[in-house]
Amino acid sequence: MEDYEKCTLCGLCKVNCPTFQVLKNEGDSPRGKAILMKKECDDPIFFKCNLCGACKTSCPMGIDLGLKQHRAKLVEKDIQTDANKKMIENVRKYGNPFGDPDDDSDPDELYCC
Amino acid sequence: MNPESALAKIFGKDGVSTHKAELLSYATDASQIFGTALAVVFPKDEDHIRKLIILASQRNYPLVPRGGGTALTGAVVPDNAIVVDFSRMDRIIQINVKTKEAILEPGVIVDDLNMELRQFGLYFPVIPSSHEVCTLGGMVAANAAGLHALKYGKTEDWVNGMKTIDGTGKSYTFNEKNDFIGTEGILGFITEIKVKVTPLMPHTYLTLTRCKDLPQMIGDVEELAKDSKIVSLEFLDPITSKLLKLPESYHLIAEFVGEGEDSDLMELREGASVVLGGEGYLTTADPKLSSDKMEEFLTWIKENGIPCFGHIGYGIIHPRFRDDQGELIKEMFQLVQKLGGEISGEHGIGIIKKEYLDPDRKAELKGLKYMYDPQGIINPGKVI
Repeated sequence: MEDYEKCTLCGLCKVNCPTFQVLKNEGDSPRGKAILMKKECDDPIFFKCNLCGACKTSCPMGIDLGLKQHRAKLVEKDIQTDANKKMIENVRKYGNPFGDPDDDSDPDELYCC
Repeated sequence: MNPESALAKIFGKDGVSTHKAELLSYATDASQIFGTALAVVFPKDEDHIRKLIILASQRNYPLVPRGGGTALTGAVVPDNAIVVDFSRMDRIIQINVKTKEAILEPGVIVDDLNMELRQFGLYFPVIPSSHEVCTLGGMVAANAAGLHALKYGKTEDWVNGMKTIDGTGKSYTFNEKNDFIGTEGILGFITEIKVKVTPLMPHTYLTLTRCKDLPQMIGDVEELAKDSKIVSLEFLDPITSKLLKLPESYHLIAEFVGEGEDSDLMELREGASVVLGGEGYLTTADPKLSSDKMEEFLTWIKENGIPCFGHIGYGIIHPRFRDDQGELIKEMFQLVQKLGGEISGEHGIGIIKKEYLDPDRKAELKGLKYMYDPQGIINPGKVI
């Protein structure tokens, strides 16, 4: 049994989730993501997460949703955000997520994981 | 007809979602019963609510009010309805230290309120176990209780007034308790709540007592409940005790006002739900029994091997069941009715306890529903 399958949907993971605290949308919360995993709904919404692990700390059962691994699986299926695609492209091409290292100007857009 | 464009006119693009993944996240609550959300909206003020009700009334869209989504009864599960998420209506409008009152929007989380009140030496004393995420609006709708119910009672005891809008769009400003308390959002929406607050509780300490058997525990509860310094009285049954690495007996955890050693006993009690969940006992009930019927009820629970814990000082018990024990749950509710108890002491009726609701109460609620929401668009399919 995967850890996310044990989630009881109590919602206590929302307490310290920085993404939920800003966006206040259940879909962006760890519980929302656990629901999507249980229902096998693949969606770029999994990239709205800092991978900080605060949800595991807040969870009464200490559940690790495995969001990093889940995102890796989504990328393999080409389910990701445009920002993530660009970041991967930049890392492969230039060795960094920001783009051309020879270009001295500040990048127009910043990408992160 | 897809409601998105009409809703966007009221709430703006950021205030409405019909994204498939987000709707799935809003399809359930802590009950794990799944429904279907047509859209989610995030009101920011009373005007949003009023406009939404007019639209819903014209187009016959069912609306489901939602706070922290911690209901264990399916009370906020949408059945092809628009979910109204109050998370962004979370302002503490006023704290009046002199009158010991606070005015809040319904999306305020009880811990956030208490964090603000602390600087004034004040406290909102109804603390459900989901206090870190549950909202005052949800607590009023469910008439929540909590760990200190023995001393402080339920949410209804701390509400001094509310602003509400019913299913016809009519606004009410009550100065006293009203029909929207404990009716699980089936009559309309709460847009503002005035609560009483109290000076911070003095220092408390906890004790753990091992009871040799059930009759001894019942006797101890009667004695302890008479103590004027007691603020909470919890129990663990032998199954739960063993899972928490205690001897396999009944245990009482009592909290008293006064000087005593700090301990982690309340964490032990709060851990009860987690260890039972880990053993597959995921369904929680919350019957309330009078003290003279408690022994008979707990004897039946024990004979059927049902693990339980709860606020025994206030009469609320939390038996826990596995997914395949539906028949046993039914039998338990029948026993509660036979013993003259309440089928829900603090979680509400929602979807899962509808069929056990007292017929007189059901008739009363149907009358209220017809009065406040004759079209039946507010939280349909719940309670009655």
